[in-house]
Amino acid sequence: MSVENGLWVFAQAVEGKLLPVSLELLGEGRRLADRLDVGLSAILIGHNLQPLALELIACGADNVLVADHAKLYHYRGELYIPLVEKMILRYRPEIFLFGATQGGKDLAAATAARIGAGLTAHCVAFEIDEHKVLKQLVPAFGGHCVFRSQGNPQMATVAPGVFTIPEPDYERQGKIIEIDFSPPAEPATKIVEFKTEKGSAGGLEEAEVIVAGGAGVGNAENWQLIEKLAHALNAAVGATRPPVDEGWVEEEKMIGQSGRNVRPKLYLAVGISGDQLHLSGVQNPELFIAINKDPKANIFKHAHFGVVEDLTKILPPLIELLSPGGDN
Amino acid sequence: MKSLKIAVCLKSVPDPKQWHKVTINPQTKTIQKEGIPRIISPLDRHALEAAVRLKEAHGGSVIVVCMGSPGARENIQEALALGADEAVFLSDRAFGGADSLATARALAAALKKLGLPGLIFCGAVSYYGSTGQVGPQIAQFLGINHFSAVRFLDYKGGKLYAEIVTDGGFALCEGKLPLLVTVRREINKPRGLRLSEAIKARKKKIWTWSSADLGLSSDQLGLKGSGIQMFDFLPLPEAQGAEILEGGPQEIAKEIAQKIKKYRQGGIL
Ligand SMILES: Cc1cc2nc3c(=O)[nH]c(=O)nc-3n(C[C@H](O)[C@H](O)[C@H](O)COP(=O)(O)OP(=O)(O)OC[C@H]3O[C@@H](n4cnc5c(N)ncnc54)[C@H](O)[C@@H]3O)c2cc1C
Repeated sequence: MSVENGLWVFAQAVEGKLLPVSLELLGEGRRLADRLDVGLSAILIGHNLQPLALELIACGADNVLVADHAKLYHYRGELYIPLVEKMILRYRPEIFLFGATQGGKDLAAATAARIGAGLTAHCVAFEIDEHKVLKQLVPAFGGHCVFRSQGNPQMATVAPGVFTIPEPDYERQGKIIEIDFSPPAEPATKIVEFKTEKGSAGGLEEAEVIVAGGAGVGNAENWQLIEKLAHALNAAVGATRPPVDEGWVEEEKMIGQSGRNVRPKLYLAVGISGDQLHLSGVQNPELFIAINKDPKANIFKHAHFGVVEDLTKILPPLIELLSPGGDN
Repeated sequence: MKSLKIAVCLKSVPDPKQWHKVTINPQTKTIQKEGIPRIISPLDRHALEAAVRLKEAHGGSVIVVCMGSPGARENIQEALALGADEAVFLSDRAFGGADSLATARALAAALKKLGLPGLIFCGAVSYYGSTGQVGPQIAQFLGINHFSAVRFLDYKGGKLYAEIVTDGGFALCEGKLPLLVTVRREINKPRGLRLSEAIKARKKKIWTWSSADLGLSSDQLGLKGSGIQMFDFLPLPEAQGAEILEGGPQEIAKEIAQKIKKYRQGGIL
């Protein structure tokens, strides 16, 4: 299947590994490409990429466009943006999907502006309509807004965790296409230092148990109850936006459309009203318990079990019961 | 050395605390947000603060550029009270309904008309739409470099040093001006509003520009100039609803603890 007029996925390499979202997008990309009967290509930029290219083919790519250079090891807009623009102008993809990572969002936005194409953010589902146009679904206002992007290609970003990683098949055949790259002689920007940092999200995206607190927690002191409960449950701590704005907790812990996408088995929501922009980041928990003093809170529509009570009354005994030596 | 010209792109958004009042009309697919108080998008306040601090340390001037509905004028006034020297208000029906592409195109045209400031600040994402696209897109329309998601900034010897949050950790970057920078909240703590500054700010100049002033045609702007279009809205089916646990706090706590324990024993966790 050809690179021309196909469906493209930006495959992002960080520290020599593919980000999971790149593979997630290949799974969905494969489904859409088959619907359209076009090729699926992954765009891979970085250094020492051979094993990653093979992984992409195993996960569904027909072609991998590879730009391999030591200077491309870390994401750098000044180098990546013109390179991707060049690839688009040469091969004219129909659709181009990006993970909503720091690098993915930046590259998608900048490239879209350069070629004058529309870019839809926060997509959670795609459909192909009868005219072979990509319908892009974005959660908002208690439903889904359906967008179309104009221009070529149709571009969209998708948060990590929306789609699942396909089963790799290392028997699959695909083509690797090398793309020339030569760094500018006098770049205007450079990376002076790079520090790897696990981030303060505390494994939120992989966590099986999450205790999340909202505005209802009320203050930094009460926030300790959330931390203690999470500790007792060996869970990760999550938050809505107000606790982040108030500075009770780091921004990395925010769950929802502009934060993390999580897939816990057990989700405990404390003092959270249940706004869609928060809940759209919580994917199908098997056990969902909500504590909120307002019986009309929207969160009770979505939780499996609800407690209508002041959280400061429920959390202390609950922490006690769940802590080692508690009578549970 | 030439004095530093700094611009801040500022968005006026419905107060996030009243976001629940922003609704969609499922028939006409138009979004209702009238009557909700507007604030400066929170990260844009950090962008403004970064610009004003830079000016205070190195001299120069700060100009605010804001595209918005007439209600945004109040937010511009506030920005002037928070340390900006003057402002450009892009106010014209032709700008209405713009997505990030059309917004960036208009803001870039205004910045160009101002003689391309050496440094341009934006918030990393807005509190309305929250795509984070506008900053990098303005930079492309201007043909300059940018750093996204900056959490620390220093300006030395005519160069900008920015610590940016990346997917693997963070990177300390160095760049030559002109540059556009989008900031995260960790970059600073914005100052509060002072009455004396608010009074002084009334004398500061707000230039109002229309689409004609930017030399852009109406099909490059607003809804018509946008790259994406919403053409349908699908409401979600009503969710099923929770089973409410009854009893005193102690009893309820016990019941939750038991439910969690039972669930864990089911071998699923
Ligand atoms: C563009 C955009 C993007 C956004 N992205 C996100 C996002 O990614 N993530 C996110 O979370 N939000 C996001 N938001 C904000 C979102 O719209 C909501 O405002 C937010 O999720 C509300 O958080 P909350 O439930 O903690 O607060 P609130 O809605 O204020 O709810 C607090 C709840 O606590 C309850 N409560 C109060 N006191 C107590 C008590 N003592 N005991 C028990 N219950 C109590 C109240 O009954 C209430 O239901 C976004 C908003 C916009 C506009």
